Amino acid sequence: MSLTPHQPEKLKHLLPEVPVPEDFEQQLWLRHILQELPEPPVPETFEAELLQRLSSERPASSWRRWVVAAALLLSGSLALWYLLRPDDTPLSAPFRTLETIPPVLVEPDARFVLPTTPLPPPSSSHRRELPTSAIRKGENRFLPPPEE
Amino acid sequence: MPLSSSELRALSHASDEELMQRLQADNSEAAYTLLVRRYKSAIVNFLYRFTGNYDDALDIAQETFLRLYRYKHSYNPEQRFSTWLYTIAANLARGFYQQQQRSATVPFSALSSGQDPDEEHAWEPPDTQYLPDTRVDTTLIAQRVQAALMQLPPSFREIVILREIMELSYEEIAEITQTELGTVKSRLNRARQRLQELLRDLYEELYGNPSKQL
Repeated sequence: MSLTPHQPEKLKHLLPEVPVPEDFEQQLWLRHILQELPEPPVPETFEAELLQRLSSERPASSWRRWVVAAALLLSGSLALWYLLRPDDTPLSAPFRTLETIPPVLVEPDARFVLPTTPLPPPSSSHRRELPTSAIRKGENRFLPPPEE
Repeated sequence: MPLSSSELRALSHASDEELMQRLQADNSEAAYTLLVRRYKSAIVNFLYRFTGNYDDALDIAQETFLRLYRYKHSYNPEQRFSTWLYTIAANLARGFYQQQQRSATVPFSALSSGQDPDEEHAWEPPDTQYLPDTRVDTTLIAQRVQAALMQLPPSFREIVILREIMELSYEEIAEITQTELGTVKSRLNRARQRLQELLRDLYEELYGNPSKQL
């Protein structure tokens, strides 16, 4: 079915009315009332307090920056030292001046010098005899007298 | 160093994004002050509606502006400044809510100030306006609407405040809440329905029950 511009009534019948939800007004009221909620006041001291907190943070942050810079400088110089060091430099001493330390000579002490040739094993005659025979005979001279 | 009024005047016509660029470039205190002045009311309002507590709202608002300064270099000048600032405030508000959940019902501000947790810290709006027809005090209406807002889950409350009170676009809200556009719309619809249910009694007190009138 085609419509001409002279048939507006037909168009009206063709397009049914869109139903409005029952709670339309309540929805509208809700949105209106939310927008109308009063803004809480901001105290006059708000900015001053904020700037005070900000200024108390600033020295701390600049102090932190210096610490970080110092740490970076130190780690950088350590890395540089590690890369440029000669091969025989000890790893534990990056900032120590390199000097050759003469070895300490200690005079040999006869008491602590190990004999070059091993000592012969002690003969069996030098061995102390165990008092097994005396024990077997019932002698008790190895034991203290019983207390009375 | 005190801030000169000529500095403030010179920058007063600059856009938010231009002020942020000045702040990034040379730590301009005038630019920072102007940004605080432009947004402090909106941020306090958003935070008050979200937390339901005036002291907490002020405290989080201060923290929001401190972070604005602290993280100024993370701001991308192509981004809209207000969206970026609301994102900071919303993140802090969410963190506040989680902290409050962990510490039962003790308000955030009471923890730091040693106040009695039972003491009421809601700001009461000035009692100057009346609805001519019903003579219902707007203070009471505002309190009941706020109480209804507080009954919504935080993710719904946040969206309904950003949309209906702060009048931000869906796209901005999606960016602030870090959610999909579809999620924003569906949450907003559900939040509105829930609010309607919660405020049905108030509506009927004011305008009568429409079903009874028929």
